[in-house]
Amino acid sequence: MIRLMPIILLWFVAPLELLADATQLSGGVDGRYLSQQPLWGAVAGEDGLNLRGSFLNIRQVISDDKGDRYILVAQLDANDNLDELEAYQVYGQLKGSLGGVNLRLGRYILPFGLLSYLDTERQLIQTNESVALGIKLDTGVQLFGFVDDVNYALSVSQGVNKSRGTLDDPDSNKLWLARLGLQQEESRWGLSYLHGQVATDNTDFFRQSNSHKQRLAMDAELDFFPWLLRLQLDTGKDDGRSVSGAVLLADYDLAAKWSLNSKLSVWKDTDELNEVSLGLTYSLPQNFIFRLAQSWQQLNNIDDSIFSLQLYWDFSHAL
Amino acid sequence: MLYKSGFINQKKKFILFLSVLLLLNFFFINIVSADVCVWRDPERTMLRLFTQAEDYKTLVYKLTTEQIKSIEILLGEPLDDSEKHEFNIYAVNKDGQVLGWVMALVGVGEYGVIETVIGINTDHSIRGAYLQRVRERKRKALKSDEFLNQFSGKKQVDEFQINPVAGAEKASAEISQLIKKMLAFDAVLNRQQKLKP
Repeated sequence: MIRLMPIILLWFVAPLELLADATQLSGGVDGRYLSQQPLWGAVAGEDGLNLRGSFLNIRQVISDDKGDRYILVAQLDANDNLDELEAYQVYGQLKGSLGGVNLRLGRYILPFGLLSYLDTERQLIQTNESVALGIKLDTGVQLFGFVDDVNYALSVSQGVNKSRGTLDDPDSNKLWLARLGLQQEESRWGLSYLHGQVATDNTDFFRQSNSHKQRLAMDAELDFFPWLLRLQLDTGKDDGRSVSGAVLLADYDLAAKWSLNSKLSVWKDTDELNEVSLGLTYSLPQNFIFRLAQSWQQLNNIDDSIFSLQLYWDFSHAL
Repeated sequence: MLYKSGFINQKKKFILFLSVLLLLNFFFINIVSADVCVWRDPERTMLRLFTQAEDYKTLVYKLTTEQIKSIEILLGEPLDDSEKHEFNIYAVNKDGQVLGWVMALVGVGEYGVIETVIGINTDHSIRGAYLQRVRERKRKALKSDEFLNQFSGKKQVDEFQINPVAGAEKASAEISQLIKKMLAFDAVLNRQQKLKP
């Protein structure tokens, strides 16, 4: 029954006429084939054909006399062949005036490094948080906005990364995060700092642990046509032990519907993890996207080579 | 035996995936084929087009058959299927007074999508145009004031005689067409808007 929940929800939600000024329903389906189980970045048993996930997202904008003032976002993901239901981003946002401060409360993607503007959840080649950060989404409060070319974000959250999401915070230690970014026409740059306890039991992530983390990250997105380069350098400590790493994502536009994708990442803590990935993306009609990738992962002296295919479809619709 | 059970498991997963995909597609394909277009940094673009703006309000128009027909008549060609469902117009204001409107539309160039944004004055002339995302080889020339300023002041009824960027004629034509479309959307959907909300 639980597997059918997203579909039942779709059935009821689609014809709703909500009273908000603007309500957007979007969703997607992500099916994959993995030649074998990766060393990290996937839950156990994801090799072979797999309905990696499907999601429904409702975004509602409520306005006052002056303009858009409140934004409510709720996304439900059904992962791993619809076996696991998980709240993805679920938050309310008090929107400031143009160029003003925004306040977000709820479960959101932490504005750390590339995550602040790049969500690779539904792509084969992904950013490095499963190895480098131990957390991606968290429940808390965030202030963010921009002044001229400078972006800023401050976040205080629980530091809890549970498989299905939870409001329980087993310790009272919070996760503090700050990011300053510079936005330019052909590039953007950011400096992020994170400090606090992170409890991870999410098996999507490389290491399940409860550790005190400090991270300093420099991220950049550079548009060197036909290349789009994204880079993040990390350094910091886990329970006092030094950790460091880097990830480079490079996309090359071949044509309107074709692009090459690649990733190079290194990470050093008590283990050494390296990854090289090469992929291809093709945009099909009707919002379908086909991707393939070949990845080589190395965990200390263990190597793994994974070939993966993905068929992805998404939609967006105003209610 | 193990192989066989594994095979059945794989087959089940595949059928499950296809079923969900077909079911969703069946429910939504007739009403939804709009691109999931994330307009990144909309507020910065609004301030670029209306520097004195203080706030904005999202106006969502679900298109009726009559409205689609009117837009297509003004445009002189049919809309793409993905453009026939809804259109967002952002009313930009200061002290409660509407300064104008901002709208965005996505087209396809030779190397990817071209996200085009325009600001429209209260007399429904173009205040300015901006390319939010363009991956064409001549993108700097396409994003230049020299090219985009050609659209300033144009109204829906005006002739568009735009000098294309040399070597990017297809992309120039696509941008020009996207802007014409947005003016047609504005003419049909937005003309009845009162200036004071």
